[in-house]
Amino acid sequence: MRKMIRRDVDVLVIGSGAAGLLTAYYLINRNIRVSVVTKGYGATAMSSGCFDILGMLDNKFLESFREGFDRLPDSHPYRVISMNKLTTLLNLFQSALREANSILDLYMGEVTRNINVITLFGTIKPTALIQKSMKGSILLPDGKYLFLGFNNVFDYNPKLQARMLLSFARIMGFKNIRAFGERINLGINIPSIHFLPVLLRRKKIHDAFMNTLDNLMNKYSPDSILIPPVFDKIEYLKDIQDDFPLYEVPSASPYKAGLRLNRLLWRLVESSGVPIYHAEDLRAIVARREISKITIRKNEKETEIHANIFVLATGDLVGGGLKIVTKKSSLEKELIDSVFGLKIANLSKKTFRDDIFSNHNLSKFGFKINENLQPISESNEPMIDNLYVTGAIIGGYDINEEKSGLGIPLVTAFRLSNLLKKAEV
Amino acid sequence: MSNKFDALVIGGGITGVGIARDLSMRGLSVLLLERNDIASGATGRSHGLLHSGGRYVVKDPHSARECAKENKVLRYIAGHVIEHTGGLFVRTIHDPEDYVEKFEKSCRESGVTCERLTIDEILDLEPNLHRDILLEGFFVNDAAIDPFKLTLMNMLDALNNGAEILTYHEVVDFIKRGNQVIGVIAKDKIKGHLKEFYSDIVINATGAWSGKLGSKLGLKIPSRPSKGSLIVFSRRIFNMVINRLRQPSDGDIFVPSYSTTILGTTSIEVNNPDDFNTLDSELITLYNEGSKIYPDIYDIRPIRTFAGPRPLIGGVGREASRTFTIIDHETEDDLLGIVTISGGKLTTYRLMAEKLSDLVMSKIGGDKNCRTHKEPLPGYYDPIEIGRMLRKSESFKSHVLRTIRRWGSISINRKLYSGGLVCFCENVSSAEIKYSINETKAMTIGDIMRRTRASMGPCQGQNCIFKLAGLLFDEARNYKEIFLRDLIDHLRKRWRNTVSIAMSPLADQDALFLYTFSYLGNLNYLARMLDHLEKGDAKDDSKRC
Repeated sequence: MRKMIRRDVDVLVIGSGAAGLLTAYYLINRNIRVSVVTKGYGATAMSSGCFDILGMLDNKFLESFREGFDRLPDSHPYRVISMNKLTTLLNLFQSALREANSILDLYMGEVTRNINVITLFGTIKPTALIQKSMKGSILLPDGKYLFLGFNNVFDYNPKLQARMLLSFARIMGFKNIRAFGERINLGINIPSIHFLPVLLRRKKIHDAFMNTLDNLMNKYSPDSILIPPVFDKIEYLKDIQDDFPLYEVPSASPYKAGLRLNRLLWRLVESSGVPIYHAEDLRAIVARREISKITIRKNEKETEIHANIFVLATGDLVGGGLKIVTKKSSLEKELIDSVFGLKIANLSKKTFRDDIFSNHNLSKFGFKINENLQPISESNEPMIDNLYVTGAIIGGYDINEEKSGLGIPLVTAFRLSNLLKKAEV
Repeated sequence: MSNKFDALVIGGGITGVGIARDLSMRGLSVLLLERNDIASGATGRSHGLLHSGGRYVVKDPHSARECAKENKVLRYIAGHVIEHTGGLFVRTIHDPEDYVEKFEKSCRESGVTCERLTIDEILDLEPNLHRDILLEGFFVNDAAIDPFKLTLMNMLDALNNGAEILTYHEVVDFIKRGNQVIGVIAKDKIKGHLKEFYSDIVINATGAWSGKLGSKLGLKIPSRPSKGSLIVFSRRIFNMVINRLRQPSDGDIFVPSYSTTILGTTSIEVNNPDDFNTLDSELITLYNEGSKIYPDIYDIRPIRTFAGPRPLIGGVGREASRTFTIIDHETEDDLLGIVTISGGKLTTYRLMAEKLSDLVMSKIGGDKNCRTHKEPLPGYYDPIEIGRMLRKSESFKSHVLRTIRRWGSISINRKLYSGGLVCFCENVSSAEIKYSINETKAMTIGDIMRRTRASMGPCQGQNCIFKLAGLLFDEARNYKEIFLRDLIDHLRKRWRNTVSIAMSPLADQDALFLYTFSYLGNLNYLARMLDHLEKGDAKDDSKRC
């Protein structure tokens, strides 16, 4: 074994999803020495790339998060970090967006007003900020939408999407929406929609595509033509958008919108001089409720990172920040965090509901926090004195019911950076 | 389609479909009615174990003899849907010593082939067994059989012989004239209307549901369904069927099935054969017992659980004989025109169909000769031909091999390997799915799953459920009317079967599943609104009444 390398920072952020990278970004802007350590590339890459703040409550669509704030439980992270004041939360969001301006150039929308967008399933979902390339997926009460598919490509069915949109819109009370689905032939068989950006680089296919779009415009004259986000970089799509209303619909992995956001954040953080370490294995030394250092291993090489403050931004079950361990013999389950092994909850059978569409505790899993964003135990004491959390690893909110996707990482990262600045680490 | 038939079979499990094949081969006009999809009841919820007879040889030698005989027949007629794995009976440190002698003796008497192996030989065959807990073992002729495909191939053959098969038709009542049953009234569950069908003889082949169906005629059929729960693991732990060398009991069989391994079963008597819930206590039993053969079982990712009702008749649970019973209601209840068959094993389905068809023939007259054991099922191929078949195909050979494994020679004749890949876990391409929709009566996402294994692999449909709905939307008649309901029901079913066993890393995947469909797709809103609307409609209907 070679000699151990030692690094010293003020704050070490664990995790490279939206929460981790935004935390690092805000901290470096406040001149705090920060590093990021990560095992992967962040589960944000698997997301739809839209910032949802609070879209629904009790199965009803909300106009804005302000409408639902008072009805949230006291333990909800939004209420905890804003000390139960709506104006504080509003301020936090607005400042967070202003400061992350360069990231959010890619985006459109406002924090104070929710928009309804059409998804890949043809369903409708409320969100706050969408990527500009998705502009045409905003639901208009009398909109006319054309879903675009390709011959012999079975990733999705445009006719099914159109039918789904009509059914969904009718249930929501929109009666004047029109939707169509069409499969087009580009003169070449492609096995999957993900090949489209590559093929469109060929002039012949590109021309055929533009011709077809022209014909479709004449045939249907839709407000927007919708495809899934398959373009890695949106510059190419922008060129087409000069001539045709071709837009993307929000959808998760394997589509690229979330990846686009994650990469952008990554690049931004790296270019502001924050070192990002990859770790195959990660060990923490915890003594007397304090973390002194973290040892990471990659390619048989070990690095010790010493920091005053550690920020856990490893995400929820999907991101890998939480895990469930099962005791042999009784099959009893326990929820722990995957870095420090801190116990979060005992899980009973009741945790797992039989109906997928019921209200799941599974999606509320995570640390209970105090207003300083420290994970706290049942007795409301910080579990570890110099540990803070941001993003989806915080519990008490239900992403699936509330549609509060990337809003939590954004606002908790910002809030933490302000707190740490004040504390002058 | 005329509504008058020589024979009418109720129940599309392997027994019913086997009878439809047998009778249609003897030249009768046959109609089969199934309330859901073929193999959606006990057949599709079984282990998929082609018994050598070894399991029942001590306690139930009659059943063992049937299994041993039919094992050989099925290896011939259905060789292409069987994976010829072979099986082991192993005695571990937890099992009684005196059973071994009885086992060897009974095998000899019943004609069940078994061969004693040394510990080293066993470990050569199955390195995943542990030397520390292994005491002795025998080789038997067990094998893994695909119950869906077996039923499907029987169905295709019945269709070739002119039988009519209607799935999603539920028998709601019988039509009687005097003391004779002359037909049934069935409800088309997709279109929602009632139809009448007439026939000389009605065959109740509904297995665990036969008591329920018989009660519509006031018949008392001693059906005692017993629920068995099983766990599917995400990879092949063993390449052979592994049995414990002891009296048949809970959690003592591992069966390899395609890319997965299935551990089963439990036995709980249930009143309602539609009770498919796996209890926590059953899971604990399965894990405890499973760990006695394979101690590392807790570290392997489970992907789902399922449960099915054994169609036992005349006895309770493990004590009931596994042989089958034919009830002629003419002699038993003085009711003409109806017979009931129940009990038996998947392995003996053909024998059951033969015996029942003989009875039907003696009643209505006709060809007495059964040919089901002489003519192979559709898709059969000589293993020697495999090289020629592969040369003929123009796709990746490994992919073609997987479709041959699923469909036999049909895969080559119909080019089922062509088209874009839809299910990445199990390598199912669009041609295979289109074929199953257009020619094998797949009408829902679940039907495609049973026929092609799409969405049965490690991701359990996360990636392909929406794609399957899209293909059905294009290809299947009537799917446009039911697509929303089907998508939502399928997601519910899939969830119920995985969440009962949720533990890392399966819980991570469940969370991602929720993220995709509930959060991003907002299907939780849609499902609740649909439920709400349908409840409202039902209320309106009741007012009208």
